[in-house]
Amino acid sequence: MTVSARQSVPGGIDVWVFVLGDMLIFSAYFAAYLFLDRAPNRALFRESQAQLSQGLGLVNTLLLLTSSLFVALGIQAAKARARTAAARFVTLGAACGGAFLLVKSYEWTSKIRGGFTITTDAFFMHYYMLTSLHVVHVLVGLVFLAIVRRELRSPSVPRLELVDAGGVYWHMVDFLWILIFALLYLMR
Amino acid sequence: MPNKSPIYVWAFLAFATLASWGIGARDPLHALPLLVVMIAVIKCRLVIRYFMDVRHAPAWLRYSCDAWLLLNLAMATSAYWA
Repeated sequence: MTVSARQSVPGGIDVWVFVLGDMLIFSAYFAAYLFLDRAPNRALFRESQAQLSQGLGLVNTLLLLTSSLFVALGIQAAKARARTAAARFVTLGAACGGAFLLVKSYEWTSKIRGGFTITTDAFFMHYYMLTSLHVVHVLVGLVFLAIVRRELRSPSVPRLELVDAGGVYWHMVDFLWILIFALLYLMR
Repeated sequence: MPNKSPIYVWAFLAFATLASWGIGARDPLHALPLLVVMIAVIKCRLVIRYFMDVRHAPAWLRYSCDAWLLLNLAMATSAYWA
């Protein structure tokens, strides 16, 4: 099967098998949150939701958006053969991802100190489950970004499809968080 | 820099994030949570189309991503109105 240069699958089909699968898994979690637990407990969910810090959620969303910008600029630079700039952008993107993890840890710690744990109620079970699952994806994404960075800094010609694939996975981590932020933090 | 569009996309995304946070932080009228989720879906679509370059991808991938976005929008909408 041939595809025109304008219509290639970004990063190759393999990473998209991962990404599409992950998208479906998260949708299943969203469905469980919305229909199994939230629907019969709307008042409880509204009350518990009010305990979340929308400010911290906002900071985290802006961090991941900015990390995605850096990664997108890095991929662009890689395609333009500006490998040093590309590696720097990817490092910046990963740094934002690291900052996201720090803010998330702080958020979890302060929630737990406030007495809101995974067993507090159904809302908090979903909160911890969804954000933990997302954090696992952030960690995997950071490993991929490290691989991309190493590829860009190696003496041989970087494999652009590998670089692209790492970027694709990272952007998925970003847009999944956008939905989690909206559903868990903002939508009441 | 050869192509500035990632920066413009980011600027819009950051603005939309602040807007939906501002909406979410207030006591919502009936339509506002729905507006929040619509903004989120638009943001996701921008990330998918522009940062992930899906706008240049084959039709099956573009449609799959859009279908997933619509699925999430439909779920949130029906949960909100249930």
